[in-house]
Amino acid sequence: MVFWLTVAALTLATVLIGFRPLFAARQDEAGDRREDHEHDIAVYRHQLQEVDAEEARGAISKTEAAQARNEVARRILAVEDRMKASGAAPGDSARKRGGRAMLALFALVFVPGLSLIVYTGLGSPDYPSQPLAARLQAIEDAELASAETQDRLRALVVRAEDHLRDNPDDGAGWDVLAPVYFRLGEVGKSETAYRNAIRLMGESPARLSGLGEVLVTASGGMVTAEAYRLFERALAAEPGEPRARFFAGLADVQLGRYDGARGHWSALAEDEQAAPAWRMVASQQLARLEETAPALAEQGRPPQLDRQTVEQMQELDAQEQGAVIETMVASLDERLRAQPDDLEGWKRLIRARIVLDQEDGLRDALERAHDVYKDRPEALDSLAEFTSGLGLDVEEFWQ
Amino acid sequence: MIVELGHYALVLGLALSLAQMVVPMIGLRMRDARMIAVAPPLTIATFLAVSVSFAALTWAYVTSDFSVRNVWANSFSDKPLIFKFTGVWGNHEGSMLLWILTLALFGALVAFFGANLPSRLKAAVLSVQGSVTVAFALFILLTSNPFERMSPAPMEGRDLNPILQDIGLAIHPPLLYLGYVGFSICFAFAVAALIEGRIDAAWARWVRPWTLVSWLFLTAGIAMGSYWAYYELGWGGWWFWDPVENASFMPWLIGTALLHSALVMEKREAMKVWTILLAILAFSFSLLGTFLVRSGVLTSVHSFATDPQRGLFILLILVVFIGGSLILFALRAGTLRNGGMFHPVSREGALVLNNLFLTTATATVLVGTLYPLLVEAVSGEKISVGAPYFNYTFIPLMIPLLMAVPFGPLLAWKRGNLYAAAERLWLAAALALVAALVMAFVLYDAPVLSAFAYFVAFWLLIGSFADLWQKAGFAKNGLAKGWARLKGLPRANWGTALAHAGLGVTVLGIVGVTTFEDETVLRMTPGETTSFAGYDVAFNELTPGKGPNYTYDRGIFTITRDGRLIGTVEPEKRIYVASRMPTTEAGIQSVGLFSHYYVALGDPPESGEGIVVRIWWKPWVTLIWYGSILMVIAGGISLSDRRLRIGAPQAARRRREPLAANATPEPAE
Repeated sequence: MVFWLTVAALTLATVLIGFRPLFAARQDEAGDRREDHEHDIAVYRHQLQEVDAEEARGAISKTEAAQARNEVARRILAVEDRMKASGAAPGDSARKRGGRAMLALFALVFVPGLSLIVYTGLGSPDYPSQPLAARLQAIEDAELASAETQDRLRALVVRAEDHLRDNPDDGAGWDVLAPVYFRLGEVGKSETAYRNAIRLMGESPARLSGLGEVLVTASGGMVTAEAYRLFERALAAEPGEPRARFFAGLADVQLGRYDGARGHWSALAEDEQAAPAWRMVASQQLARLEETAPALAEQGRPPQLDRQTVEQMQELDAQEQGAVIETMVASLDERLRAQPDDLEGWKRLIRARIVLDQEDGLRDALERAHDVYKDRPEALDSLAEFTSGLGLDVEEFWQ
Repeated sequence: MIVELGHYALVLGLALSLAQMVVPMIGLRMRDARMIAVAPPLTIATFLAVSVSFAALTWAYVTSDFSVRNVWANSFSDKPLIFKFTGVWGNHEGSMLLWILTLALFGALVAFFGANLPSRLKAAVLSVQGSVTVAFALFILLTSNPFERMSPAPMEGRDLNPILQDIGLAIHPPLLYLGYVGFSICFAFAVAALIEGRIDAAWARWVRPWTLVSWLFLTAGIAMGSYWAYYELGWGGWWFWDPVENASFMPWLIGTALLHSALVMEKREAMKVWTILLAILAFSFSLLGTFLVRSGVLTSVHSFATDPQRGLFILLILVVFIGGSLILFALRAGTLRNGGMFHPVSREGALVLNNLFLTTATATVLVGTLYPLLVEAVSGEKISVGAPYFNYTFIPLMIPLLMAVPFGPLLAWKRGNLYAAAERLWLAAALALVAALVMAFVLYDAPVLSAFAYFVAFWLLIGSFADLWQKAGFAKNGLAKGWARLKGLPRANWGTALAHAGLGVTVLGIVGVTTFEDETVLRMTPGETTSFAGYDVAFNELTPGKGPNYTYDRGIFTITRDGRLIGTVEPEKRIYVASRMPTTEAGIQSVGLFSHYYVALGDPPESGEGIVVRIWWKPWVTLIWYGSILMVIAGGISLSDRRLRIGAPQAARRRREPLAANATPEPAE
């Protein structure tokens, strides 16, 4: 609101300044050339004075001065001729009213209208400025606030832990504690709590997907095979479970199945039953996917196999296929040890580790790639973009 | 909010400049005084809107608002404050916004100071100027919007190109733009004159101050750029015939020609067609320069934006403005009546000669700049036209021109006497000859050719004052009276003499540094001492350290001559944190009044101890820039000449009396 008021004030001010003659009462004379000629004659008169001055100073001789004066006089005569020729300007009053109307059109419609239309097309009026100092302050404030809530949570957790020490088979207790642990960043304890809750109270979609999320976080953003199975089970029990839907989508991205990811996330984003936070995250991820999917799809793809190899592969059973792929990835790994400067190779290896569900291999690949490129920011940027496009928490790996 | 307000203000500026372009033009057609009168205030409104926009972008830089893509891409939170300001124009988008601001500024200046202009001409000028603003505002909004936002905003920016993090950048581009864009006003005057059909002596007088303003800023900008390259790039050179340098040099050459031909048009109504053409060409070369730099056709230090779409857009602007104005020119040029006649040997003749040489020189520079591009476009082969080409073409053209300069002011209008002028110059020639001989043989024991070069420089320097000397007539009138006469001269005379002398000083510096420069490259370890060009250089230590957004290795060198301390220099090699780009900071020690001892650090050698050190001895090098400063001052003096403000009917009448009183009668010679 303040923004639009300022915009209006700025527009008004510039229009008032710029179109001042529109609001002035006088100025009824026609814009003809009479005034032009007066200016001309003023210049030539001054030239005559200059000639006089130069002659007086002795800079030019008498004859030279006379010649120069003649020339200037001819110019003055020419101007006077033109003045007569142009005669009285047609002071057509109807035209003048038209002029004023046209000015008003420009001042009141054209300038504000065009500005508004173009600006709303190009600008982001609702996006506030973000000076760094204010953002740093906001982050500090938020950290302080969350530290306070965490302190309170911790106090609760201590009490709950006391209770569970005495009653370790209280499933409901574990069930309550598990997400709290997760929020406090205690991933290991959270995993234990979820597993206890599931053991004691059976599977529920919320518990399954909660445990899945814990596992994903523990592996730095990689949706491991175990986590994926948990999400699948949660979705089988409750197809609309938002957390499971979200992570199923992430798993699809990591495996290169963009259509699958799109399906999960757009369903979640449009699901009115789901919590708004989940819907927002889903639509953000969706937007990001649209932006990065083409690049992601190209990067880190395994090399095209020739037809013969493909046919041979098809004859193998799943286990044998897996073995062949493992060998290929291992040889890629070896090659990157020998020739580490191969950005595309690293991307392929990272993707392969995810597909093969090899968490340690992934960590190893990311760390080695980071070592190779740590002095080349543009390569590192490219790598970071690729991995964060896959939903991996690359900063954690690179710390 | 402020960022978005800046974005809106830029759009508003576009709308206002569209009105500034269209409304006065309709008014001129309809002879509507109100619509004509709206041109100046509209120009000022455009300037205000663009200023708000520029201020908003500056604010975004100063507060490190990384939600603005342009700030994120070109700034860094730990960057020193001054470079947050200068970073605004240290990138493509921001510099184009500065370009628009300068366009609007010049329009506003005409609106503000143009009281002496007839309102029809003023309206036409401002309308044409508005059309240029419209073109560039569209360009920036459509292809390179500095207000583009990012969400989420990154926490840190990518930093400004380190070699641009220098005080030189704070000054060089704005000066250059004031010059470049200043010629847009001359262009607007030329097109307005063609549209209005009034091309006469009065027009020439009105356009002169604007030519002078642009010329002096362009001079300052080029000199500043040259000095910046000299101390920042660490190559010790002051001019590289780099295409981007050429791009700014060509408008300067044409602008210089325009400055002189407008003089003829004002005095004699001759060379009208030519002057109009030069006014169009000067701005065309500015546009061409912008196109070459911004389109990515050239890769150089300056080409921070390479994007074919932008290139295409600028090419379009180029075609519309240059093509359009030239077509208009072709349509109208035939209707012009010829002005005053003159003898080949006359002031006019000398100025024609000046124009001939300057435009030919521009053509050689143009060929040298564009030829490699054409070859690459046709055959795909990359060639570079380096200094030798320019040395063989440009310099031979300059020598006769420079030789002729002192003659110009001494020749009379219409019909001059070359013999008489030569007679008045013999003293200057003799002095120059003596000075050159002293320089070449006694001081330096140098080849004959350099003696000639020195002669040219001194001839120019001394001969420039022959006109003043003669007008004062010290010999005839005695010291006191001569001095009084000198003081009574119009300031423009002083401007002429000083500008020509400044050129002489620059040439002297160029000759000095090119003939007697010396260079050595060696590997040194701390503690070592070397002897070069008569000075001893001790490498005291090499210390690493940390600046605000860079780390450095700083060498400390002590320069002595025969045991006497000359000075200490501290050249650095820096690595900037965010971009990890290395830069060099040269260590420069002034020796005497005009010479430099220049030390730069190279790379550490692949094996072994020490570091590569380059040392230059640069005699008289600063004269190059002192001469330019002199030229700028001379431009300022000329600009302050009261004659340039004449033209307002009332004001002129009021001034008549004091003017007559000033002209104290003197006996004619």
